[in-house]
Amino acid sequence: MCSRNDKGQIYTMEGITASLIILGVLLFIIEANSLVVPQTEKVIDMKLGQVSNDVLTSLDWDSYDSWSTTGSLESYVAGWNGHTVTYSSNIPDPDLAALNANITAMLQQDEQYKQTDIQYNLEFFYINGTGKHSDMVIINGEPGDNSMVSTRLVTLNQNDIGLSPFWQGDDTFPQVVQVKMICWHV
Amino acid sequence: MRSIFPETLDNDRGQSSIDFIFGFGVFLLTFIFAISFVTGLFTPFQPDAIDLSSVAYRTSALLVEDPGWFIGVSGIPAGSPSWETYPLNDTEATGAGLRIGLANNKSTPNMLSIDKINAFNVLANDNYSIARDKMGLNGSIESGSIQYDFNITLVMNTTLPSSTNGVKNVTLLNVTSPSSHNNNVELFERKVMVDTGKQLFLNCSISPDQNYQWINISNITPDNYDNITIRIYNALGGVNKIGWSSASGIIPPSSTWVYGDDYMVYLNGDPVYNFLTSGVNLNSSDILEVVIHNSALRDPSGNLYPNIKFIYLHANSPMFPGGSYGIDYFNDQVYRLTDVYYPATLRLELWSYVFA
Repeated sequence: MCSRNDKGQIYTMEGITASLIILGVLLFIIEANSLVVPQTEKVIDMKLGQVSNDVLTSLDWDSYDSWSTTGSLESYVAGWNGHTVTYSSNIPDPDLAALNANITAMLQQDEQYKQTDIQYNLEFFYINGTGKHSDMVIINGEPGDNSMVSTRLVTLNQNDIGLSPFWQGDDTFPQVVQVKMICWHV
Repeated sequence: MRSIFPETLDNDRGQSSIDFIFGFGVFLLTFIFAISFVTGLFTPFQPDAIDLSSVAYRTSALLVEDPGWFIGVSGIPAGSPSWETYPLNDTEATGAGLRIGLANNKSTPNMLSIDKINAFNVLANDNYSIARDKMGLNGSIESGSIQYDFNITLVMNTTLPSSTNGVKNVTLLNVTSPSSHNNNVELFERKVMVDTGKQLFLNCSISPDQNYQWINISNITPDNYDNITIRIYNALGGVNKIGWSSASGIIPPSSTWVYGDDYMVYLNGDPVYNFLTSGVNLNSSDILEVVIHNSALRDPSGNLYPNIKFIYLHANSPMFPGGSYGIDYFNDQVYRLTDVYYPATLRLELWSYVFA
């Protein structure tokens, strides 16, 4: 078109392109910054980690001369008879089934905000004569992206009450078992 | 290039084109949409969101993982974590400057003491601002002047594994701020265990052959202000009389204790209101708690009655194992004095008017 001088004008397509570029830059800056600045999402993760840590800590009490509606973490670990679970199977071990019911009850105890959206898996890690073992003992589902892990160490001794045939047959004492709880929001 | 139009119409430099305004409008719409659609995109850059959550965490950690701290009244060494047994005052001159914590002791986090919980509940409901000071939520102690407000509840789950009556929750702590909260509230939840104190576990499945049971409490010390609690389980029969006696084997003619004031009976956690008229019948899965209040063992000036040496239980069938020798409440090798724990949830809501 030879009748108009339209050099230097911005048209609709360029406007959209510019908006996309600016949005992209903006997103990039925010994403990069969020690595440094503590943010709401991190606080939510922290709360989830705190809840799972609290559950393991609360269960870890000395069962000598004490009683509770739930057993102590040590009593469940001691009663575990070496059964591992897969994604499709139920929990075969009666002690671990009871532990599963107790942890679920603790997570969902709140009347106002039932935390039914929290799922978890439980894993035992220990070392004996045949090497390192990492056994899944409770599986409630596939962990999500923002899963949190908390751990607690439990020590089993030879004269502990309620030791399962599995631990007695293993005969590695004192046996330190790392109880690992993997927690996530559904 | 020379135009066929006159010079004045041909020069349109410096004008913004309709297309440009449209394009820029599209960009602005996208920008505003992106900000409003992605909730919390800029939340991390607001100082209050960060500040409130860290204060909420700090407050919950102090309550759940710390036994508290105590300084200041005459005759009591500083640092005693048993702040709940002394009167709490605002100023250090008249009493205890302290930090409130609910844990039993430093080495057992998440295990809360029922005495501390009760003391905190009374304090915070009587005098909210003192409790706020002692929790470190009144910023005037530090450099700034930020005041935080809070609501706290602690709900304990006492459902027995054998229960068929559904979930049983007990609210131990309910503190509500006198001022209502604004929109920006941080919520923090902690899972804990509550140590509800010691009970004598009387397992009645061990050769039950007696209608009577004497519990020896003569070893009580003057500074023991705990209630006497006897937990009867694995029993088949009915308990219908409770009293005190000066020696084992002596059946008291009638109890001078008043039901409700001096002692209480709980069946599976629920008070038995008609105990005096009908007693209470037990199945093997039932748990009966007999609670003798400490005040029933003391005269009005607080001294222990010298004659109350045994607690006497009577049943309508031979369901008790102990015979007449008397079980020592404080130090029996078979029937142990046992701590009773229940899982609980502590909920903290925290806000500040500085961050509206």
